[in-house]
Amino acid sequence: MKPNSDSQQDARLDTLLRRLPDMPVASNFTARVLQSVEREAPAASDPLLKLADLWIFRPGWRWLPYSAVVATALLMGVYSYRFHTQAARAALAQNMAAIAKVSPQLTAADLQDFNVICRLGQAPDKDLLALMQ
Amino acid sequence: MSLNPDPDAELMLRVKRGDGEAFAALVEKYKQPVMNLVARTLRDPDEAEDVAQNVFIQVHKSAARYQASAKFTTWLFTIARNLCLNEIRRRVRHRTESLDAPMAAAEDQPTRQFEDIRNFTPDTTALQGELVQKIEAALASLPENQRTAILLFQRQELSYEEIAQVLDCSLSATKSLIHRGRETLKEKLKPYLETGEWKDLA
Repeated sequence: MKPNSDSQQDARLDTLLRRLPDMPVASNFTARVLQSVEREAPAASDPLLKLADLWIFRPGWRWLPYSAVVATALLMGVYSYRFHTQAARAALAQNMAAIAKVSPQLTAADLQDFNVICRLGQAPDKDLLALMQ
Repeated sequence: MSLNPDPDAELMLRVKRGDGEAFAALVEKYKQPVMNLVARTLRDPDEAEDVAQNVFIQVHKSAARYQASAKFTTWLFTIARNLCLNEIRRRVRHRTESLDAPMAAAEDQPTRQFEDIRNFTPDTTALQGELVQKIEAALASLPENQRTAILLFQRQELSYEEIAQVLDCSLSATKSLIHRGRETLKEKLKPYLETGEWKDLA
């Protein structure tokens, strides 16, 4: 009898697939796997490799450490820029305060050379200021 | 008394605790199913053997991350499939770089050699005959996901849900893959299914 119906063909296909022969496996397969595992065991105890095995270094999460490095570099850049700007402003204020002590009634003419003197990079001469007072 | 109904998961928990015997037992139990899937996916016996070994090495490496809530076979075949896909991608990338391969392979040989006493008797080959070749060819012609789904369904008797996990797709997509794969197989094997020549395989 010919298996014309769909269900018969399905059943026969099931049988064919189930009866497919196994693929040959080497008789030393298990021994070779165990040997490879033994060889890798000392390497796996390496703390650096353990670190590399963390979830953040696994595929799909590899972007995370790189992004963290970039973000840290950016934050450090912004922080150092702000620190530098604030330090410069503080120094300027300090200089202004020192001058204000000497001459409380400063005029525009008095400050004409102030910026030039600041750029010389020298701190106010405290002795000279004391003498002037 | 064990609380875990899956004996393989139990073995895997022992592997997690560093039990070498439990790992050897898992390799013994699953080397054939893994080899069947890998060899039919890669269609290169030597590469298939290397990849199948890597599957178990990966299982051992990842033992610490194994969650007993997952069925062991689902986890195992997911690893097997991922390594097969990696191998296929590697083949595509390095299709032209074959000259250095034998040397690299030789360097990677284990320090100790274990004799392979596998037997290929002519009787076994003759018994399977042309029909097996036709089925293998029909399976090989299927897209990878359809073939894997069918092999896991028919040969490993995984449930639709488990196959969906292995293939990382929805349940309905899995059913559809199996259905389409089977329809293609039926079409390709139609002459055999109709003539009843399939009985030769018994």
